[in-house]
This record gives sequence, C-alpha cells and structure tokens, in this order.
Amino acid sequence: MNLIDIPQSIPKRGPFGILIWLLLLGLIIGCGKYQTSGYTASVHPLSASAPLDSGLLAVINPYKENLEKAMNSVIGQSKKALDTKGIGETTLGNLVADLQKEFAEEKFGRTVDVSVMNNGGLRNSLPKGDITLGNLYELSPFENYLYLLEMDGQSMTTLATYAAAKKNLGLSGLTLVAEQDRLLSFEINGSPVDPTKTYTLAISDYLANGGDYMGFLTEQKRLIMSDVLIRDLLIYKIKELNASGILLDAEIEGRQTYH
Amino acid sequence: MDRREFLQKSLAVTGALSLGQTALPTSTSASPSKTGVCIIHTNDLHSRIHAFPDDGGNFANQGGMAKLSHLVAAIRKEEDQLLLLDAGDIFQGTPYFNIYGGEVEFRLMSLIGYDASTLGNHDFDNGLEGFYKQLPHATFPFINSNYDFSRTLLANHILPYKLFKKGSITVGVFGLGIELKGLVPDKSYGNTNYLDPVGVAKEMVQELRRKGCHLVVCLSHLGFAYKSDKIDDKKLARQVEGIDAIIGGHTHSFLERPVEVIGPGGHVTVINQAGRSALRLGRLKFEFEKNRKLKTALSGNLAIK
Repeated sequence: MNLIDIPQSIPKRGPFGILIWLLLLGLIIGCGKYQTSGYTASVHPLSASAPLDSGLLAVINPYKENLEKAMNSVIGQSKKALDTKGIGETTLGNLVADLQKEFAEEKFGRTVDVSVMNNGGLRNSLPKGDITLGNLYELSPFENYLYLLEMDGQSMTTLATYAAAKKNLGLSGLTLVAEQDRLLSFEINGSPVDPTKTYTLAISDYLANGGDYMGFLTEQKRLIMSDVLIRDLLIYKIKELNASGILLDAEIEGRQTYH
Repeated sequence: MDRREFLQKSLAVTGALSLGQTALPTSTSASPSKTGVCIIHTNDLHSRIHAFPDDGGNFANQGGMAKLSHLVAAIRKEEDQLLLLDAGDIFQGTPYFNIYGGEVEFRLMSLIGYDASTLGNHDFDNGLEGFYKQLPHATFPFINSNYDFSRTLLANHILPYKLFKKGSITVGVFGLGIELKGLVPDKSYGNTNYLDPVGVAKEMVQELRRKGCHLVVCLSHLGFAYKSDKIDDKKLARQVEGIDAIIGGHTHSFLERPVEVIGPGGHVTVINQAGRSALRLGRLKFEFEKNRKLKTALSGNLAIK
C-alpha cells in the first residue's frame, strides 16, 4: 500500500528525519478512511422578501435598461384593439392565424390551406395604435415553433369537428357552421372538403404534438418542423406590414357560425 | 459492492491526500476525524434574472437569480466546504435570453460563484454556436458525460467530469443529458451524439472511484421520474451502483426532501431537485467520518424560511 511505501523515500537521518517519521506514524494511526456517515437536507425558498444583492443588480441594470428600450420599441400600428373576445372566432385569433398562414406560404414557398391558432395561446390583447416588441412577448410568451402538417379529408373533418365543439381556435382558410357543439358543415377556402385530396395545415408544435387535447394531430405526417418561433413570425409579419404602411386590423366576419 | 467497499478502494488516494496536507512542519494533527461537504444546487433557471412579476400569479415576486446571490453568500459563511451546482436549462424563458442569448445568465452565475453546471435541452435553443458564443461569459465549467461533442465546435469545451477537493474530501462530479432527438430541433444539436446514460454513468462511477473520490455526484438533466420506459433519475439510481447523489432537473420537480433510491448492491443514491427559475435552492450536506461504520440516514428537511 502507498502508506507503507512512502516512508521509505524519506531520508532516515538527523533529527528532522525522526520528526518526520514520528509525524508519519501519527498519520498512519490517525488517518483512517473517510466514509459518509449520513447527510442532512434542506430547501431554501427564494421568497418575495428574500434580499437582493446590490452588486449583482448593478451588473444587471445596463442589460435591463437596454431590454426595456428594446421592448418599448414600436414595430407596428393597429387600427383598433384586438383581443380574444368572442365564441370560437375572435379578432386576434383571426389575425394571428392569417399572419401565420401568410408567413408559412412565403417562407416555405408552398400553398397552405388552413392555419390554426389556439386562443388560449394568445396571452394578451394588442392595443389600438402603437404595437411594441413587448406587446408581442406578452401576446406570445411561449417557445412554440411553426409546423406544417399533411392532412387528408377525414382528418380535416376531425379538425373542424373539434373546433366546433371546443370553440377555442382561430381559423384561417376554414369556415364552419355549428349548432351548439355539433358541426353542421365546413368549407376549406370556399369549397367542400375533398376526401381524396391532401391539405397542408400550419400550426404550432404545441398543438401538433397533442396540446389542448388535439391528440388526433400527433400521427399526422410532418411536412415541415421548423425552428421558427410563432412569436418571431408575428414580429416579422407586423414589421413587414408596418414598412408598407398597413395597419393591423381584423373583424369577426363569420368564419365560425354557431346557432 | 456497497459504499464501504467503494470507500475502501479509495483508501490509498485518501491517505496520500491527507499526507500531502499534513506533512507541514506546523501541522501536528492528521486530517479531522469528522468533516463534511455541502452541496447547494439549482436547476432550470430558465433565464429568470428577476423575480416573477408582481401580477398576482402563484410565484409573484418570488425566485430569480438576483435573489440567489445573497442567499448563497449567507450559506458560504456557514459552510467552508461548499459546492454550488446547476443541473441545466439555464437558457430560455424571459426576453433576457431572446435579446442577449445567455450572456446575462452566465455572467450572473459566475458572479454568484457556481462551481459547475450541466447542459439542459434548452441550452441548445440557439444551436451549438449560440452556446459556444456565450462560454467566455462563464467562469465555471460545463460538465456532461453522455453527449459526444467530438464532431462539434463544443469539442474540448465540455468536461466529462471534474474532481473538486474540499478539505480532505474529493468530490467527483459527472453530468448526464436528456436524449435530444425529438426534443430539440436536429439543426440545433448538429453532430452531437447522445450516448446511453446508464452505460456512461457506470463508466463514470468506476473512473471517479479509481481517482479516489469520496463522493460521486451526478448532475442530471434526464428528469426526475417518468411513467414510461424513458430513462430518468430514479431508474438511473436503480440501475447504476455507486452514485451518492443525483442533482436533477428538467421535470421542474419541487421536492420537499430528497428521494433515496436503493441501487444494486444496496448502495443508497440520494436524488434531489429544486423546482425551477431559482424559486428554490436545494441543500445537501454529506457528513464524513473516519473509521466509522454508520448507516446513511436522512436527518430530515430543515427548511429555512
């Protein structure tokens, strides 16, 4: 063992040598193996009253000020306040579903038949007038990505049936008529659904992966699983419209009719 | 093989270490008969720089890295053999990440004095390049053992494990990350090769034992427990012998006290996780004694409000 070997390398002469020998002897006796004899555990909550560190705040503050400046920057204009008030169809839901559809078609260079946004994913309204970057972070705080799914006629019917029952989706490219929770009829871009045709659906990865009880989407073929955040595509489209002098606007226009 | 045998295996190294520290002329006593190492830890910080906003939500005014600093400093006054660790997902969650890409998080963690972190899936959100770009802002190392980065620009920038000497005690820390496919866009992790956490953990425990570690700690971003077959911290502890503590993340689990799992050979692994967003700091103190054969025991939750 090492402990026995080591003393042999120590010079064996003079008073210092003896001292070191004694020291090592003491070590061999005193130096046993360490082993855990147990542990204690605790949790420290960082409560509302937990103190801050002024030094750290001094480091954060320049970032914070720049961040606030960025968040307060105006990226567009809205003709009126847009929100998620309504039964199924809402002004904000229509706007976001439309912008998502336009973006997907431009970005991927293909036709998108239907675009869907869950109203629950829209976390704040947009005010009339100046639209800031911060408004978009409040509207869409989630890290949800844009997906394109391939849908056949049957799965489109399932989607329309779900939308009529739940009344929780903003729809672009799909109109429906329902009585209570029951789907009566629906159209895709003005035509009845064709059971032999395949359609392209623009949607967030959250819903595509079965969020909001849309489990029927999890098996749909993924045409594109992009790394574009829904928030970022909205920011991009709003800036683009602003550069063309177009105000944001949307109406509840009868895309979803409930008797 | 149990903990005692493991420690016996590391006897030679322990002895050598003690010798090195006590062979000074002024030192008349050997290393202390009792000692301890305190591990404090966070996970899933998710760019939570400030406390949650004062909006009446569940976590209003709570959490945030700005509050962590003061608490850690207070614990440092109580514990001189301290390790501050994070179990990954530092990135993503507030506009600080979207605007600054992780610079603020890494700088603050460096100032607070983190000893190490591992990588979570969200730490790939700006791609390998995005992570690499922020590394100069971190004065602490990133430890991961089951992502093979050798064909990426992170090659040689991530440690497979690290030894920390705390007084007479050597702590070996290794890291495990979650399977990236399906969770992170392919483009974001590029040529990173995910290796089986169980096999890698077994190798790491052997390696760290050989290096004479008294305490083997796994920084994990696998997640605490899943009902499916997916590997998690509990399954890992059941399958791999010799891990003393798993500091976990990913599932945002608020554990009121650590969970003990008895693994192969009766080895006890302590699993802990501290919620998310710096809402909590977990604390585990391991006591060590010489030549004593005591059972590992949980002495309870000593929450400090």
